[in-house]
Amino acid sequence: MRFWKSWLIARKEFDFIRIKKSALGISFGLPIGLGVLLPLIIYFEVSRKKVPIEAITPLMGSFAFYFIIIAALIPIYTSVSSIVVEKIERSLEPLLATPTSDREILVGKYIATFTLAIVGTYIGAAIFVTLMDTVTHSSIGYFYFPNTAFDIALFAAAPAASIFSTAFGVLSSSRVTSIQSAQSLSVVPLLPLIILYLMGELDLINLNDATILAYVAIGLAVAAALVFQLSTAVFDREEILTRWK
Amino acid sequence: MIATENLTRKFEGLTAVDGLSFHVDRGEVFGLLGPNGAGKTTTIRMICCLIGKTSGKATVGGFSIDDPDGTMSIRKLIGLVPDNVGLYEFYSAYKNLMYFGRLYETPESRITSNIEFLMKKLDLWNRKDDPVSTYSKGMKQKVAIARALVHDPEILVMDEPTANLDPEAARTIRDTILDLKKEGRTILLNTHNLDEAQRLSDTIGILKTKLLAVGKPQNLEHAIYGRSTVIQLESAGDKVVQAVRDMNPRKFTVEGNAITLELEVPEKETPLIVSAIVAAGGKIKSVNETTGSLEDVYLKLVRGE
Ligand SMILES: Nc1ncnc2c1ncn2[C@@H]1O[C@H](COP(=O)(O)OP(=O)(O)O)[C@@H](O)[C@H]1O
Ligand SMILES: [Mg+2]
Repeated sequence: MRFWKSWLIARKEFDFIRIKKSALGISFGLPIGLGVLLPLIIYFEVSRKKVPIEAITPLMGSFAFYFIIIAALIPIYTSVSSIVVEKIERSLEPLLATPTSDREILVGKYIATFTLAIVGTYIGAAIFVTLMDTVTHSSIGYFYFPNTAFDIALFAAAPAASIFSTAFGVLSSSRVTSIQSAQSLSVVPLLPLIILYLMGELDLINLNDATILAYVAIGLAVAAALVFQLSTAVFDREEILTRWK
Repeated sequence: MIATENLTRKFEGLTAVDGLSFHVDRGEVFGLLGPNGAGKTTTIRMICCLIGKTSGKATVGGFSIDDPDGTMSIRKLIGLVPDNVGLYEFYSAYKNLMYFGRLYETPESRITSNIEFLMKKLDLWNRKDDPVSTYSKGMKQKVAIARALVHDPEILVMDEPTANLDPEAARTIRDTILDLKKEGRTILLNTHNLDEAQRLSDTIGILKTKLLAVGKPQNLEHAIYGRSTVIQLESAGDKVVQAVRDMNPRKFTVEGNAITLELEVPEKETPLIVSAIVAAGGKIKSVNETTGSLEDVYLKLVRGE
């Protein structure tokens, strides 16, 4: 496994994403939109309805979970399209004919997809933190963000969620035979996150709690490692070349 | 450079390539000729280590396709022009070539000089920075050829490089291949186009799941049809026919005033027979050697006649 080769492949992916508006929209538009929208909601809650700030902070805290979901959501689109596009344009055959191993190719795709998802997520999160603090500082009296729970969500759970989802996207797009089935399969890693979120809404677990978020992060990291191994193990160049219609 | 022995590939019950044995020497252009579905693509995919074989052996540059370390070396030795160009359409031709030069682990300075050389030669240089999506089919095929050559491979493998091109573009590609042949490159060329195989190849292998025949284009014609010598006489009298019979040709027939001979070595036997006819008082109008065309050979083999 030579890292420079994976990096070479990742750079090609970046070049591709740069000109692809839908990928850019999902990778940056979505988290930036969220980073602006969530503080706006709080702003209106606080300033117009005069809701007591004590009622607002748990809501603010729960927003952190959105960034974990976003980090898992972005790769669904980008990881699937990076492999599927090569299948459709038949560029996999010349690529596989080069002296590059399956793992080097896949890691290249991972680097690109993961980097994009995490950079997008962090830009959105930075906007979110800045606006949130601006909106709430006067009423709370201190900067609510960042805090421990948010840091764990952003720096541990979000990257793990992103790798988990990327690995799942790579896995499904290298095994199935159409974009649609690849993308619908890739939604699977979102399900546990959505279930967790709903459980939080129903007060079954406290998603503002740093310890619980740490468990979520660990769970996601384990799942990511497993699916990553699986995706490289089942990547079958022959099948990819000959089965795709 | 390439040698296969009983190379076989099955797909769930269907045998795509059956017991293929052939070899391609250094500097040779080997044309693998066969109709659609003959197993040409499957064959080169096995040779390029893109898919596995079911049984048999193959070596490229001395490395076996079975040896996991050997496959990396084989990939470096080969430049592949696949049946679909598979270029990155959003990249310029230059960037496509740069990317592949690096994937093939070629030194940077070598890549840039090769790209310039190849693109100038293939008449692509003035469009080098335009995205490939703006290129014509023929230009894309040329870029695919340049991509296969950017790492100075010892062997060039091409899968139907002129299929789906208009006649003019196909011609340009053929001229390019002829140039490469003159440079002494080792080329394995897949084609279903007989004329192309004949014009470009030193050796032709006729493939239809099995390798039906291998040889130089002219030898193939002779091998399948034999060569016949037709002697046209003013009149084929008994005396003349007897004189020919006395020469013991492998086979001969008389039709009107024409005698058709099948000879072992026409270069030696024809003059002797001509002398014998003249000695027997025969008057010769013409002597011609005929042979079946490669097209006849091909159709005969492929139709299984
Ligand atoms: N992945 C595959 N699965 C099943 N059959 C295949 C596969 N690839 C090729 N074949 C079959 O193998 C035969 C040879 O195909 P191919 O090598 O593509 O022929 P050619 O390139 O000479 O047209 C065909 O009958 C084709 O349908
Ligand atoms: Mg083919």
